[in-house]
Amino acid sequence: MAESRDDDPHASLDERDDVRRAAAGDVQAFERLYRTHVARIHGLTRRMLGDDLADEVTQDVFVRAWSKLDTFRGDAAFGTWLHRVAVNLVLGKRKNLGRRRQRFIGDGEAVLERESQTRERPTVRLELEAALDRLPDGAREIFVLHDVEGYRHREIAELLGVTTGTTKAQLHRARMILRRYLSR
Amino acid sequence: MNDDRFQRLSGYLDGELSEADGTALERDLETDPDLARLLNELREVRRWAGEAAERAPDRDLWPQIAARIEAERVVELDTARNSRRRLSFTVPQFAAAMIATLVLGSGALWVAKALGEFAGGEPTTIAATDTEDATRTSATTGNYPVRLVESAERRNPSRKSDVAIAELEARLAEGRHNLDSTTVRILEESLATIDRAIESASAALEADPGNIWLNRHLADSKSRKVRLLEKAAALSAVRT
Repeated sequence: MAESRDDDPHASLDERDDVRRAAAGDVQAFERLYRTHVARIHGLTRRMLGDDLADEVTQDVFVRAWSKLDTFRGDAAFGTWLHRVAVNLVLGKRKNLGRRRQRFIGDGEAVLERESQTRERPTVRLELEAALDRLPDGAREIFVLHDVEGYRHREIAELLGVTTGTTKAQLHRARMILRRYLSR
Repeated sequence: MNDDRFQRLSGYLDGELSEADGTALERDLETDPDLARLLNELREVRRWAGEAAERAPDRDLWPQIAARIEAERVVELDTARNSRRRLSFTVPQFAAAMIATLVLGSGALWVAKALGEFAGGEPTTIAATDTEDATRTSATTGNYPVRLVESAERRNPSRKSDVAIAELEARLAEGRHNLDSTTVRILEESLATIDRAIESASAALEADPGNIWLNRHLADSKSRKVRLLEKAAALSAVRT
C-alpha cells in the first residue's frame, strides 16, 4: 500500500477510539470519522469518476465501510483502510460503467488536443479535474492512483489485474496527454 | 522522441530506473535540450497532480449516509426479530394465522375473478384503482395486499402509503386489545425502528429531493411498515 497521509500515529489516537465505538454501533463516532476523511475520499471519487458520480459513490464508500468495520483489524491506519475500500469500490464502479462511458468519452487525446489549442495555460487546480474528465478510462485511473494518490505500479497492477508494463504504458499515455494540455 | 526513451524518462521521474540507466539518461539530458524540456514538462504534470487539493463535497453527504446506515440497522433488526418471532408463535396462533390467510386469500381470488382481472393465478395483475381500493383490498386479501399497495405506490408512493398506513393503524387500534403484551411490545419496537428510518430518509430528502436512492428507500421503509401493520392487523382480527 502506498504511504498514506493518515499514518500519523499521534493523530490517530482519538480516531482509533472512534473506530472502536463505530464498530460497536456508535453512529456519532462514525460521523466523526466521516467528517475527518470525506474530503480525501470525495477527491478520489471525483477524480476517478467525475463530478456526476462523486457524491453518490462517496456515500457508497462510507456505507460500505460501516458494514465492513468489523473486518478492520487496525493493522494500518483507518484512513488507509478506508481509502482501499474506496479504491476497490470505485474500480468496481468504473468496470460497470466502462462500456457506457467509452461511447461518450471517445478519444481523450483528440478532445484534449482541441481544447488545449483554445485555452490559456491552466493554473487553477480544478483544471486538473476538467482535464481528467477527458482522459481515456484506463489512463485516467492509473494516473490518479499513481500521481495523485501515490500508489506504486505494483499495487496498481494488483488492483486492476494487469501487468506493471501496462500500468507504466498507461501512465505514460496520461502524462503525455496532460503535458500537451499544460504546455499550451 | 521514441517511446523507449520516453518510458525511461518517466521511470527516471518516478525513481524507478537502475543506477546505470539513470546515469545514462542524465548524460542524454545534458546533451539533448528537447529531452530536458520534456522532463521538465512531465515534472510539471506530476507537481500539478500532487497539488490537487482535497476538497469536501459541495453539500453535506452525512444525512444520506446516516439514513442508509439506519436502513441497514432496520433490516438487521427486522431479520433478528422475525426469527425470534417465529419461535415465539404458539401452535394455536400459527393455525389461526394460516386459516385467516386461506380464508382471506380465497376471498381475494373471488374478488379478482369477479372483476375479470385475474388470469392464471397471477396476483400482479390485480391493480387497485385508487388509494381507497388499495387499502381496502390490502386489508382483506391475505398475501396479496403487499403487491396491491406497491402497485398503488408506483403512482404516488408517499401519499398512497401514508393513507394505507393510517387506515391500517386505525384497524390495528381497534383490535389491539386482542394482542398479548409481548406481541404489542415487539410490534411497537419494530414500528419505532421503521419510523426512525422513515424520518431519516424524509429529512435527507428535504436536502436532496431528487435522490433516487433516498426516494426508493423511503418507499421501501413505508412498504415495510405497511406489511408489518397488515400482519399485526390480521392477527388482531383473527383473535377477535
